[in-house]
Amino acid sequence: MNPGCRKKRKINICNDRREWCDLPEDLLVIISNHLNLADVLTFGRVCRNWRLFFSASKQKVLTSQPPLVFHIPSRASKSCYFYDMSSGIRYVTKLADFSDKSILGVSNGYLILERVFLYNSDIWAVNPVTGHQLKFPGMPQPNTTKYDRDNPYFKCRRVRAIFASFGCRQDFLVMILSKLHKNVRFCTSRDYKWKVYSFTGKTWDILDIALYKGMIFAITSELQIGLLKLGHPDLKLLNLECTPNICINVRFVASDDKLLVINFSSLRVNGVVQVYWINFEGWEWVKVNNLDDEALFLGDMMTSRLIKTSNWGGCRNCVYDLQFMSNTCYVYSLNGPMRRSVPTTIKGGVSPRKINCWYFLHQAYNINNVKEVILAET
Amino acid sequence: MSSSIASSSSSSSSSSKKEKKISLKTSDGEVFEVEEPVAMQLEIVRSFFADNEDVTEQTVMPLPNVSTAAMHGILEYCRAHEEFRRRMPEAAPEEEVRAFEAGYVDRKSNEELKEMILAANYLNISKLLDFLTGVAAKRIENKSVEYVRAFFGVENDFTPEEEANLRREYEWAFEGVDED
Repeated sequence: MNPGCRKKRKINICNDRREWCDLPEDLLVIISNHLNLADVLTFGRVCRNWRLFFSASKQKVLTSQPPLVFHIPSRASKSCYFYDMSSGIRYVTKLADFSDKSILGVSNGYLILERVFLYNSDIWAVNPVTGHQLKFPGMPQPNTTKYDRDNPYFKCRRVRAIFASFGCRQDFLVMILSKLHKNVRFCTSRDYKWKVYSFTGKTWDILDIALYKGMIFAITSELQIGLLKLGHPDLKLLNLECTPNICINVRFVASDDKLLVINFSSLRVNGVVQVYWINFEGWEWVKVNNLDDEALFLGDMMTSRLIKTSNWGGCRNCVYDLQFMSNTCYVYSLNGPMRRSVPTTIKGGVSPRKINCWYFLHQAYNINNVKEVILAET
Repeated sequence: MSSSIASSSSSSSSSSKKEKKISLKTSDGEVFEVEEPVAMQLEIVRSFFADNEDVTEQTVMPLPNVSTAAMHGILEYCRAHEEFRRRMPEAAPEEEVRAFEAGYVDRKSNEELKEMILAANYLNISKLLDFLTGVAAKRIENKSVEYVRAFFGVENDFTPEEEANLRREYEWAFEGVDED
């Protein structure tokens, strides 16, 4: 913009002529509260003042959005769809160059994709909201096999992937647990070298990994919980009391201040919610009977999360279970029978071959960190 | 017509009770005689009369940021809501309120709507403000940046480089999809 025009704006302010560009911030807040997310993003592109406002209030706006149902194309499509169950609004985002890659998981707002070659594969982390992407080349032992094309669910059960940032220069870490290869492989954007922690030969398998408070936790098939150290890759098992006697189909669910373990079998087979909280002060497992004002969002592809519901009017103390290729989300009360089912697609919307999982918008711009010490520690 | 204490002029007071009026002067100099319960919905008026002990009923309160046109619209809304409240003090008749609000905004152009939002913000009428901003949001739903700029009359003040960056973001646009 040329200086003349800027000057004109100044004069207008002095003359007390009200300019929408200079709207008081509280008025912008009120208007943006009524907008859906796509419109909030549009708002941020209108003029400089609104851009500043958007940058400053982005995180707040995004946190007040409900979790979205994320429809990921299984292959050969460029569009990903997001569906807001509470308002029925559908969003679309275009992923460049998606067709030759397959999906390993969703972590911290990023899709983790794999492009398979003969003996290795490239791993991509792509943020579907901001468009940011990163390539981690040359991972040995590809995760996707030719059988996965027909049934991506098998892969989703044996592969768990984490994407996180670390350090002050915003470096990134990608980590992949493969139950098939019995190892955890990881790579950072500092050196792009793949390192491996193998659990071949152990009496147990690693069932799941989770990023919690900057550390990577793993849970084994003997229900031991351990801390993954990445400097010289090792799993340090923790001594926890009161380990429950539950089947081994369990998964981690993390929030900012809690690490939970949920019994997947009891929920999906019997509709019974069994949730445990890992108490790191008393070093014990604690059965959870009440989630207070939070709800557990259970999804495949690593998209389970504990979320406060007060911001967007969801059911508190509930479990929202969204299955891989299901068109329905089931809502369970923590101490009672299933409450209701909610459709996750709109008519004529999405073909059943798409993969469904959760997407948490507040993670799109603010990804969780891994503590540097975990990477360096010996 | 019952004689009122305030120097009220025009509007008819069908009720036998003496109705207190408050005088409000808009930016273009027009004075509105407003029934007290209606005027008190304007938070700026309420606090003006609550905080200043030396004001009398003859005091004309100037509202330099509100045009006559916007004032007409605002009073229409506030009077209707006062009427709802008077008839049903416990719970507003939701159906009726919705019907009134729908008809009310249908008649408003974008220009009028914007003017009234600014006025409602200045007068601090949170209920009306919330309602009008909701209407404005609905009118720019799923619209392009250019449309939103034109709607609000906001100039594009980005430099060409910034524009280019924004366009790059735009290629990744996270868009609302119209249901059809």
